[in-house]
Amino acid sequence: MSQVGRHEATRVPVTALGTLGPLVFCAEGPHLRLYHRFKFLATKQIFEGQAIHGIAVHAEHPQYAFIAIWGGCLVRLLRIDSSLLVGEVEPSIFDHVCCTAICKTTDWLLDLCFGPSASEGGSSGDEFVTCAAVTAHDALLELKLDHDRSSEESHDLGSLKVSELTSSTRSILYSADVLWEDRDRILIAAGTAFGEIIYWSWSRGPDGHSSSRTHHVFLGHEGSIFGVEISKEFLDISSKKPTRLLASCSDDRTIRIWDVSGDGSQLSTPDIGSEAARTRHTGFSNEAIDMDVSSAPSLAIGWGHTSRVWTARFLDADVPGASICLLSSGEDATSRVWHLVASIGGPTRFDLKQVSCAAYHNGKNIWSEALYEPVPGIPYIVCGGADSKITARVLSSSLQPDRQGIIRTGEYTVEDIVAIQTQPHLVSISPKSSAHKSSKVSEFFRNYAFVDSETLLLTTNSGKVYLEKLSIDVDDAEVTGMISDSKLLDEKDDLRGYSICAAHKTLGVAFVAGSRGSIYMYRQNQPKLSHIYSTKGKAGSLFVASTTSKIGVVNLLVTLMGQSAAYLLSIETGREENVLVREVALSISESMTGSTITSMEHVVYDDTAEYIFLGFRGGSIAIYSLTATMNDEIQNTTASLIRIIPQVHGKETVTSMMWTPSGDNTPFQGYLTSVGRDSCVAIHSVDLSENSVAIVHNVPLAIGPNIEGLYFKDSHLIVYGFSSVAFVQYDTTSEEEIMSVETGGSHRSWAFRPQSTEDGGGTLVWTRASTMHIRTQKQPNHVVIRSGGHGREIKAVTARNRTPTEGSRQLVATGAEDTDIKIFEYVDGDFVCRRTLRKHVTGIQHLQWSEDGEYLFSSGGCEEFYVWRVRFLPSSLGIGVVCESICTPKSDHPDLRIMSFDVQKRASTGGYLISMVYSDSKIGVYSYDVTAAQRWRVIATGTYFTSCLTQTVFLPDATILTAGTDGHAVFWALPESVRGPHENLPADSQKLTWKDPIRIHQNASKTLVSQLLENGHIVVVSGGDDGSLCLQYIDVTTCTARPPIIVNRAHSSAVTACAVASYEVNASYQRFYLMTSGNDQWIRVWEVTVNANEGVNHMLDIRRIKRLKTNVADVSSMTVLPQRRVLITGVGMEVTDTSLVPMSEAPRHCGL
Amino acid sequence: MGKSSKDKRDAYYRLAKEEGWRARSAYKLLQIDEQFNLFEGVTRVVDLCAAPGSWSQVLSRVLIKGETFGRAGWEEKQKEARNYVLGMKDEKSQATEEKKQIEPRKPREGVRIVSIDLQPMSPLEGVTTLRADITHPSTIPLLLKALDPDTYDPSSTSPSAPVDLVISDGAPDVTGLHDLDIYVQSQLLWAALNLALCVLKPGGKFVAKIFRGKDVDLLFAQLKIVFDRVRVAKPRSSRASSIEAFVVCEGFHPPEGFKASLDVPLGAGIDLPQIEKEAVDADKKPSSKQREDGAIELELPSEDDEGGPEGGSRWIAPFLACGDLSAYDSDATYQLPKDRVSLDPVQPPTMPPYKKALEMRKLAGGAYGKTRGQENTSA
Repeated sequence: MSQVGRHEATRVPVTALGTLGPLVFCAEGPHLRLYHRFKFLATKQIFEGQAIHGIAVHAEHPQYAFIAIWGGCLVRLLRIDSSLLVGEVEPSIFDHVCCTAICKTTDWLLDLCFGPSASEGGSSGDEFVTCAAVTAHDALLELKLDHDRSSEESHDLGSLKVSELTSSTRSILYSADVLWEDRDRILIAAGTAFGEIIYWSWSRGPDGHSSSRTHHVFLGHEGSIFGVEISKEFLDISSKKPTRLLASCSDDRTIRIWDVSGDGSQLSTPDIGSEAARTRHTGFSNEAIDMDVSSAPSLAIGWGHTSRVWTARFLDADVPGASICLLSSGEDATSRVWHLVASIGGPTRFDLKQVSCAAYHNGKNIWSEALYEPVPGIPYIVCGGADSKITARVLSSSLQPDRQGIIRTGEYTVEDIVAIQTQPHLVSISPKSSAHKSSKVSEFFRNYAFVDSETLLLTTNSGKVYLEKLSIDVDDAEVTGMISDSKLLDEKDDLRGYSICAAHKTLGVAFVAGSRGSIYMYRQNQPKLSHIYSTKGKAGSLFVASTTSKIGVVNLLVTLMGQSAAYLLSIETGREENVLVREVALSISESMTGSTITSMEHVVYDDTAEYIFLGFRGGSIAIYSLTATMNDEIQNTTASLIRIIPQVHGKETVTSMMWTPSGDNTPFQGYLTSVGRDSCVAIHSVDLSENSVAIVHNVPLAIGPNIEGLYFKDSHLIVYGFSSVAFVQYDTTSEEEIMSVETGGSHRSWAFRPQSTEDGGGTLVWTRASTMHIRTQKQPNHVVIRSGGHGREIKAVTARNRTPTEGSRQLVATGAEDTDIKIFEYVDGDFVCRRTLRKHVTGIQHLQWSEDGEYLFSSGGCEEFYVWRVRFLPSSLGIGVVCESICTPKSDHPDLRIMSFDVQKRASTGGYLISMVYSDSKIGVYSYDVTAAQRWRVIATGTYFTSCLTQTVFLPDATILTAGTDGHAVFWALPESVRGPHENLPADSQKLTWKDPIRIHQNASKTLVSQLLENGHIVVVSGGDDGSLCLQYIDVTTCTARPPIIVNRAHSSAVTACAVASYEVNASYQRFYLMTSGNDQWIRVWEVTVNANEGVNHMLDIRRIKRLKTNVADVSSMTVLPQRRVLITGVGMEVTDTSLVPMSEAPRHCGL
Repeated sequence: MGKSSKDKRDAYYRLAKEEGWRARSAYKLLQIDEQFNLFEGVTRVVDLCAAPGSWSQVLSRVLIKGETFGRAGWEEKQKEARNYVLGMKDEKSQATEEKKQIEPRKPREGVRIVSIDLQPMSPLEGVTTLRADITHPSTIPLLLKALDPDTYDPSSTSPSAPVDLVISDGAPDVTGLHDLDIYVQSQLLWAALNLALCVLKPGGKFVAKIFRGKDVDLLFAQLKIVFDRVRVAKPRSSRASSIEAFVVCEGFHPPEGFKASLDVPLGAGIDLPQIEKEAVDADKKPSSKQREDGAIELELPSEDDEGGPEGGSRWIAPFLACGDLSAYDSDATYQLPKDRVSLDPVQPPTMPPYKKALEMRKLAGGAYGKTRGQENTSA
């Protein structure tokens, strides 16, 4: 394949998946990607531009594996020598794979299936390979490998010969399934656009004569049938008869099961020459209208998907109580597993019960799925989505959630805990009194703390403290419960009726406090609690700092209920007797922060300086400095409040904080990461010695709102907390859910211990309905084979200018119909999503970076306009993004869209000028200055007509050019009075009027860019819905445009994206290369030369240089990356390297 | 979305209710007519994929009742104002106005309108509605009989008085797999064209919905073989954000010896014979012309076929935006009077196939968030 216009990176929907042992074949556009045990191996382009829609694998041959790949009308066959698949598979595997030429059939192929191996016919090693395929018009094709034309040396497998076994019907199908029952008989299920399923067969008689029969026509679905699958034949347990089922799914959101056992011979009619049967295939049948249609009712109906269902297939799995399992996926981007169980009194014979639902994809549409065994014995379900993401999850966990695989659960009452005890002698502390007391005090679980990953300390309402030994090794099949051992550790009077507890993350110590102020400590392997301190009142909460100032010294913060005071206790834990080495009182500024402390972080460096961060229920964070003074040879430490950071999490609780120093040499410069019950992660850059604080990151997560904890693991920031119904552990760096437990919402009594060794997971304990629930998970609930992007069409893209200080890191921002903005980094020819910004509630219309890359501006519907400050943070913290400001809506239209905008930095006075155009034909020009008291000033507004404005761009000398859906470009001059600095602007906005209209298109301008020339003049390029390209040369001295040059029929569709790829100046010419693209999925490269002769009326020459295909459908936007790489976005994103496109060879098209 | 908020977003949705159209798509046909004078001399029309019937309604009101659809007064004023400030003479609209004067629309003689759809459709004055499959050969005799109920001769395979115009506004269930959606739409177009080839008189016209997406130029090149003039029209009532457009084919001239039949339909795999290759090759030279306003319009030749199994003869049909510039803009937001009463649609929306699923969810206890996948994709 030609290297000119090479696709360097393609991220488009994953439309097909196939598996072979440890390999996953994945289709992304025309590319076949190969993964080996979840790791990417290689890519091979199969077709030129046609997207792959199906992959079939034939693994029964002893020497070779055959892979059939089809898409549209095209098919290609690959042959892999089995020896290549033994042991580690080389990334160069595709160099050794034999392929056929691309075979073009007559119609769109819906399904393809390999025939059984012909053992009787095979004489040499190369055996007969046959496939059957069904077309979108229900024709059955046979494809055979033409061996005569293959040659071993060149990896050329020859070509495929196509023959039609049956001819097309006229009605179009949306789905089909083909199954080769034996060498001479093929079963076909076809789903029409009108809700019908036709089940038919083709067979070849002994005389070579073939025939086809329709066995069933199933009605019942309302709307198109998007997926059908025929099951294997199996022995029904109750009837002892061989049974075959058909699964279907549809527009009507249901999955239905039909019985196709036997031949259905009583219904079958030979189709040959039967006009009636043909009519049957084509007509629109509707039960309500056509009562004459006979159809067997479905065996079961499954409801669950919230939008259209694309696939339903049978799973070969052995589950007690449910002989049949199904897998489905659909438009709602979920993949679900179902059991077919006998119905009790239902309307159908069986029920389809949904047993699990995986929602690991973004936006809409899971397009492909497959079963996969990376290692024998542990099957996974693999899904590929429109978000170009591929995920895998363990099949057994999906078939029987809570029981198998990576999860173990347990549920215990207090009585159960007592019964498990193996050391009864400990119970004899005071058996009588305890029994006596518990009769008065109702017994239930109070609080939990993890001493280590396998030891849980819990307190009960009667004042008992238990220690539970947990079996968290989920692989140990011998163990059934969660608790392997339980012992009563202690029992204290002042823990009755009220107790709280907390533990250190690594030291194996826990603290317990009660209503009268006694604080106890438990240390691993100690027989009982030891009393360490008494406060002057009821302890409100306990916070254990993760830092240790000296080896074995733990800092514990105790807050007092109803008092504006807290005590920091430093306890030496290394010795036999616990020693309280320090006690520091912190006074709380109740008026500024509120009195309820909800989190604490401790920073210490070489004992020279020490700081405490306190997070409050009201959303603010207070910083205290600890200073030690020597007084009469006694060291006395005092804490002084040095700063309050208000509303870090709005008005919601700050639940957890963590300090990350900037570097070893600057221990008091660093970053404070916090989470709260507002769904947000906030990062502040703090210089403790200078007492300066700046917010550098604050974005809401996809989970929440109650984020409760955070920690770092392998440079990933992991958080956990509660959503409305579930506890969720979430990796904020990869933006993936790790663990999700249905708890019924947030709870007062719970504890979570993250797994320290595996990739994720952990142990959660919580109280629900007075029982203790424990659940442990040893690894993430899904594996991401390929990371994803937007789940809907990308509407805007913009590349950030690289600054010299940041090296070569290239960021791009994308905004999509799913209302998200994503910041990607382009690394080694692929995109890595660094941040997702969730704030817009409408689809993104336009995005633009500031020249220096510090700001990103975004617009959408509902007059949404946001200003984002973007920074690089130290590696584990990623990219810092803060929504610095919002331009508040001005009109009373609820759905007014800001179609486009342009931003210009005020060179001398700071701040930005922003011109916005609206869908109601208005233009608004704003001044934005973050340092000013009034950040936003409306400078000027104007109205065009009533048609929608779609483009705006600043020209020099305070002139603005706009274009709209009426195909005209006009100029707007800003009055002199508004060109001054932000603070000197007049109080009232000025009225703008437009002038000098030029017809540039027949209708809407869909894309517009400007290029500054060396002579100071400007070329404005616009792409139209009319498929034309318009170039305007704008003379900046007069701010007028020369008559435009319009290239009609530049594309066969609307021109929706254009960009200037490179600009060259030398002594004899100035020229630039223009890239255009549109829904026709072509990229056209144009060379624009600026005439040196100023006197010429038309200053520009344009030549069409080259066309290249793009795999991105619905192209919306384009941006240029260094080295003439072009990034196109739409349904997915793709980088094309145009640096090798030869320039200046095409003839001139305009020399006037 | 409630009908009131849809009113604000969509000027044509609002207008359709006010002017009594079954669907906003009526304006697409009206605006194509404005540009192409589509109904000139037309008396026999076949409307394919007609339900819910707004295009048939246009045919009925224009050809049978003789109504004219002048734009509202304020639109005229807007246009005058625009032409004044833009300083441009709208030749196009003058031309249509002249035509209107020469040829005032009144009920025509011998009008036959047959509408075909798989789905039932409410009756319309002067329109014969057939519930049939346009891809099926048996539909042709049904259609011929409906066109000439008195003179129909079952033994004749060609219509006694052929059809002047075949129109189709059919659209598939859009899945979101773009190449599949484009393929299914092209199959609908082929189905309509196959039927048109059977009934259209030489010189007749054909208008059908087309998606201006990938490989649409392959389709244009095929249409160019059987029609003198093929252009692609985008009415202003069709949103700029949509890939929908309409191919307007005029001057039907079947290739010598070509016999159309629904038994051997064109489309999937079967292309038209490339006998009129020069029709496409006429564009092989670049040309440029200067407009009155000084702008230069370039026409570039068709690029060479790229060859290979994914290539083919490509040709880009000239584009024409339809509807006057002063007409409502389907992409714009309009200020509505505060006291405006939102009207009910002329035809209530058809029952969506997922209605039962919604009811089931409700029964199951309402634990049912509105999902993004739930939006109705129909226009």
